This record gives sequence, structure tokens and C-alpha cells, in this order.
Amino acid sequence: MPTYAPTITTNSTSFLEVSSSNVSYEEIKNSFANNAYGIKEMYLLTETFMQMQQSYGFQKFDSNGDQGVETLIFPPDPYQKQKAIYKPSNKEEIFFNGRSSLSFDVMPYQQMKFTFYYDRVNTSDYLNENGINNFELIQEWDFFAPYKDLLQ
Amino acid sequence: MSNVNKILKLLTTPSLPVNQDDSFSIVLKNNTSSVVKANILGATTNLKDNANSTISFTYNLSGETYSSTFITIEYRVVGASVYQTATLPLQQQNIQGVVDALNALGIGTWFYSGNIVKTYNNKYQFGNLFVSVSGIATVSYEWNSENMVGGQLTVLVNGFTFYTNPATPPFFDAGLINDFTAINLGDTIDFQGSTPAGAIVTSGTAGVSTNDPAYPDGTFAQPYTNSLSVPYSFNFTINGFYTYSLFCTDAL
Repeated sequence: MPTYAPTITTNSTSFLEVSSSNVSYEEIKNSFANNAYGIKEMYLLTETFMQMQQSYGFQKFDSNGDQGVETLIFPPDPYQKQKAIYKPSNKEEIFFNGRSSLSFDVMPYQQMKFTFYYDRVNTSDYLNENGINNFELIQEWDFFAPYKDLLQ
Repeated sequence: MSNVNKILKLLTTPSLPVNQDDSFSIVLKNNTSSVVKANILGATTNLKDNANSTISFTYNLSGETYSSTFITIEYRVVGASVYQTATLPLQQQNIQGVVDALNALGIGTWFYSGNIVKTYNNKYQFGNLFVSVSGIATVSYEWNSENMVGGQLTVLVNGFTFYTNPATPPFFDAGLINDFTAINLGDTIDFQGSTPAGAIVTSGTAGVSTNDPAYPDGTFAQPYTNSLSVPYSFNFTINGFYTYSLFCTDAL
């Protein structure tokens, strides 16, 4: 039976370095525990067009727990010289909520930058967009005014 | 911002987004000479995240024929003393299939370059990678009481009983332990009998580990034949995807 023992190598620097300027990468990930970020625009800056044109797999889970993968592509303009691109996206489709992630190939010795422009999203957003918000109605009617008077 | 930086910013900004209120940025850098599969921006519990890992695990599969349908990988969380094993089916009999199977484990992001399978991980450690030969191991038993002398046969897997003869043993009984549980590499099988019957254990290969004092080196040649005094017991560890069977009879 073929058995393969691993070759284990420990580096002083990380093989795939991920950093952020204002907050640490870990802090960004930690914030997903309490916030969901709907991505409305993405910016990608690479060193080569080859890196830009990789397929970027966005993995997410729906409310049933089923995994879905959406492939994001960043096609540059044929006459474009700059290796940077903005890509609009649907914040209801592309979001970071702690259960989604991004997977892609990084070419050897390449450096790249992602910027995600986001709106904080909530499940209640859907309710507000698609129905009457009863709590707002109650506030408009000043429904709680008598109780407020009594309390005072 | 200096004029040079302003010009640079303009050059690297083909079209500005409508809204730039809230945003976060990350910078990635591949410090290796080969392509790295990144998995980022999951939660802290995302075990596939390989960002900023400084430990690599590589397996050289040169010469592998990929005749197998399963692989088994040893893994443990850093600090644990014992490896756990996971047996995963191969959907494709090639190195891509091995990588797909390892990614199905959900721990680490696996990828390959040439014949080298690799992953970067600081939270988990990986041990041996077994590429099986012919699928999952099968363990079966057969009880044959020609003289009806009674007795009992018990089959345990990892200490748990999966088969015990009734109090009054039938004349004949046989079964496949795989019907009750999955048999993986490293599992321990224990055939125990309390009968004057003899027993034959066979396996698809020599080299099955046993605690039988008659074989202090821990292995026995096949077929294994023995008539031990009551009670008898064969303990061995599944060390391959072979067929292991016990034939127990009081006619020996």
C-alpha cells in the first residue's frame, strides 16, 4: 500500500502573506462574527494581467446550509494599461458573513490588493424592502404616547 | 498627497466607483516560487484559511499509479498527541482527485504542483498520506458449529461490540462487519471466542498485526490457523484495504 510521509517545512516568513493597513487581517475576520458585509463594489490591483484574469471563487452557504460557488472574473479592457480594475457587484449575492470565503490562485512572487466597498446588511433589510415596517407605522401613529405619559 | 502620487492614483484608477464610503482592503503576497491556492476571508473558524501560514506539508506522489478509489490522511490539531485518520473517496484517479479528496476534508487548502501535493497550515498537522489499493477493508466472520459444543464468538471494532453470538449459538452464522460500521485504516479488530473451537483468521496479505504471543513480532503469515485455549482472542489492526475474515468452527 503506497504510503507517503509528509515533508514538513517551517518558514520564518509566511508562504502566503495577507495583511491590511488600518486593521489586521485577523481583526477583519473577527468582525465577520457580528457583521455581515454586502459587497457593492470591488477593486483589484495586481502586478500582472495574468493574475487579474484568474478566476476568483466566492464560496457561500445559503440559509439551508447548502454551499454555492460563484466565479468572479475581473476582465480588463483590451486597451487598458493599468493592472487595476473596479468591479460592481450585487451586495445580496457577494457578502462576507463569516460563512463565505474567497478562493483563487496567486501566481509566484506576486503581490495584489483587494478593496471591498460594502454596506452592512441584515436579514431585516429584506423585510423592510418587501413589506410595510409595522414598527415604523406604530411610531408614526404615536402609538406609545399614552404609555409615555403614564410613565412620566 | 504629492503630485506624483496623484498621477499614479489616476493611472491606476480606470473608473471610479459611485460610492466609496465604507471599505476594507487586504494585500496578498505569494512568497513562494510556485502558484499558491489562497482561501481567505472566512471566519476565524474557517479551517481552510491558509493566510499567513509558515508551515508547509508536502507529499511527493511521483510514481503513484492512482489505481485506488480511496485515500486516507492522518491529521491532528497542533498540540494533540494522536493523529486522527480520515478516509476519503477518490472521484478521479489522478493527482487532481487526491487534491479534491483532501479539500473535501475541510481542513486546509490543498493544491498541487507537478507531482507534489501541498498545503500550508499552522493550526493543524498532517501525517502520512495513504493511497489505498482496492477500496475499503472488509472484515467478515463465519461461525460453523458442526459438533454443537456451544460457545460464543464476539467481534469488536475499536472496543465496541458489533457481533455476539446468541446464548445458544446457531449451527451456522456469518456476517460482514462493514454492514455495521465503516472500517478504516488504524481500526482495531478483536475476535473473541469462548469455545473449544478452533479458528482460522485469514487476510489478503501477510503482515497483519496481532497480540498473539505465538507471534511476538506482531505479524503472522496467512492463512493464520490456531486453536487457542479458552478464551481465545485475536487482536489486530487494519493496516491496509484488504479482506480480513475469521472462520470459527468446533470441528478442528
